[in-house]
Amino acid sequence: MRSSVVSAAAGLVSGFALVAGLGAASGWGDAGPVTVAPTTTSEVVAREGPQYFDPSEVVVGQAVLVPDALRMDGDAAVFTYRLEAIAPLQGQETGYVSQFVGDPGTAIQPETLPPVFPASWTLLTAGASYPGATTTVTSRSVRFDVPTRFSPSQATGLRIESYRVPLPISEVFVLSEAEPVLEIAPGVSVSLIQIVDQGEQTIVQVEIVAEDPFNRENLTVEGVGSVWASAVREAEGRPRYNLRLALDETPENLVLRVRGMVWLAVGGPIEVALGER
Amino acid sequence: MHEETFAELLRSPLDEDIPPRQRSWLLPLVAGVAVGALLGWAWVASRAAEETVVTATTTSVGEAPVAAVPFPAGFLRVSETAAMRPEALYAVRDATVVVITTVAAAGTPPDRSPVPPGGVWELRDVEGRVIDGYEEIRNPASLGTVAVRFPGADAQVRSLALTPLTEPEVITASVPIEIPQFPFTTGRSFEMPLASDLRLSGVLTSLDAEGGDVRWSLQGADALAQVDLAITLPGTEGEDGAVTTMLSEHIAPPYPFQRQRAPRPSPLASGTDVVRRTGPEIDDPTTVTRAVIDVTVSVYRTRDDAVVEFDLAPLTG
Repeated sequence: MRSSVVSAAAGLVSGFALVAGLGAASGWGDAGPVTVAPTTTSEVVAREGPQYFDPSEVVVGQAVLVPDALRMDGDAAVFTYRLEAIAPLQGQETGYVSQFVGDPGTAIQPETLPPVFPASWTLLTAGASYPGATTTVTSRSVRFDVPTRFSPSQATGLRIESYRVPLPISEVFVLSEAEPVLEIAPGVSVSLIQIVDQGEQTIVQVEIVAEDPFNRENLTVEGVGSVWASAVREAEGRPRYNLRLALDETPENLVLRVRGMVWLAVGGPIEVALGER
Repeated sequence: MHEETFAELLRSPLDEDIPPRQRSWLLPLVAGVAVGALLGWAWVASRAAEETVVTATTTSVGEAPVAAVPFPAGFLRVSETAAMRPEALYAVRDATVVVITTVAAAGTPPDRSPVPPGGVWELRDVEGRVIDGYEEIRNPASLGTVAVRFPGADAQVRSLALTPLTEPEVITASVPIEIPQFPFTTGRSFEMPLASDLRLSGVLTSLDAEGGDVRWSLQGADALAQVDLAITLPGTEGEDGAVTTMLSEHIAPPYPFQRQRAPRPSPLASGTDVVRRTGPEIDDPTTVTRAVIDVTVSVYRTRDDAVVEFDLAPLTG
C-alpha cells in the first residue's frame, strides 16, 4: 500500500514537471505581443460607478460611450462606438425642433436626440499619438490619420480630449444699431445685419454667428411682443432671420429672443477602451 | 474460456518476469504520471491565459462596475432616481453660467426616471457670499442638460447649492374678471387660493386681440410653481361656436413661423407668462367684456432637509 502511494506521488511530480517544463521551454505560456489575442477587448479593472450597458462603457456627460472596434479603413484607423443617453426621460418635454428632422414644428421624441458630442480624440501608441475629430453630431466613429503599415494592435490607448453637451439657450435681449452684436454663449453671437424700412412695416435682419458650423443651426431668433408679425429664416446660406416688425417707426432698441441649444465644449480627457481590434 | 487462459491473453510483456507482489507500484505510478501531466498542462495553460490578459491590459482602460453605486463618479443624488454633476462654468457678458448634466440611476430605465424639476439654486463664492437671483434654463433639445445663470460675471465661485423640490401637486383654479375696456394695458389683478398656506396672486398686465402678458407670484409658504394659463373670452364665439382663448405660449401651438415652441419654464416663485390667441380672431373688440382665467398650477415644495452642494473647484482650475 505504501509503495502505491509513493509511486503515485512520484508519478504526479514527474508528470507535472515533464509537461510544465516542456510547456515553458516551448513558449506555450509566453503571450507574444498583442497578436496573441488579436480580437481581445480591453481589460476590465475596478472603477467607481455602476454599469449601464456594458463593462467597457465610459460615462461622457449624460451619456455612456460603448466602444465597438478599432479597425483600419484605407490609410486611417477608425474607431467606432455607440452612444447611449442615460438622462432621465420621464416627463421630458417633446421637442419642437427642426434642426434634427428638417421640418419646422415637427415634434420629435426626446430619446432620439443626440445626448453628447465627443469632439476631439487622441489615439496613443507606445511612441506616438494621433489626433482625431468627430465632425458631425450624429457620427459614431472617429478617424485617425496614421502612418502606413499601422496596425490597430499597436494602439495602447484612446482618449476623448473634449466633448460637448447640448447647452440650452433661452434669452431675451436687446439689439440696436449702436450695439449690434451680442454674445449669447461661448463662441456664439447674434448680430444685427440690417434694418429695411418698407413703409408700413420694417424688416429686421439678424444672423447667428458661430465659430463651429454645427452651432449655427440649432438656434432661432424672434421678436418679443405683438408688434412682431413673423420671423422667417432665409432658405439658404447663413442662418439669417428676417423679423417683420409691424410698426411705421423702428424703435431704437429691438427686443428679441433667442432659443434653442448650442454644443458647448466641456471637460476631458476621458480614457476610452479600445474595443475589438 | 478457462480463467487461466484468459489471464494469459491479457498479460503484458512487462508482466513477464515480475512476480505479482512486486508489480503493485506500477499502476499508481502510471496514474500519477498521467494526473501530473494533466496538472502540468493546466498550469501552463492558465499561465498562458494570464499572460495574454496581462498583455492586453497594457492597452486597456475599461472599468468594471462596483456594485450598489447607482450613479457615476462625481454625480450627486438630487432625487430618488436622478443625480446631477456640474460640467462647465463660464461667464458671458454680465452673467455667470453653470452647466449641469443629469443622469438616471443605473438599473432604472431612463423613461421611468422622472426628470428632476430643478429647485432653488445658490452660487457661493470663495468668501462664502451667496449669489442668488438665478434663472434656470432648459430646452427639449438639450437632453439632460440644465443651465443656471446668475447675475455678475466676476465672482470667484466655490460651490453651487441646490435645494431640491418635492414631486408636484397639481392644483386647478378658475377666476372670472371684468374687462371694462378692451384692449387694455392697465392691468387686472386676480388671486386664488392654492392651499391653506399658499395662494397665487396675478396681474393680467395687458391684453389685446392677439395676446397679452400675465405676471404672477406665490404668496405664503416656501414653494415654486409652474403655471399654465388659459384665458377664455366669452362673447367671441365664431360661427362654429369656438371661443377665443389665450394660452400660455409654452402650451400654445407654435406659430407657423416658429421653429420651436416655447419651452415650459422651470418652477419659479414668480414669473411672467406670455399668452397667445388660439381660436377665432376678434373682429369686434366691444364683444370682450369679461374673461375667465383658468389656471393649472404645479406646486413644488422645497426640500430644505435635502440640500445638495456641488464643489465647483474642478471647473475653476
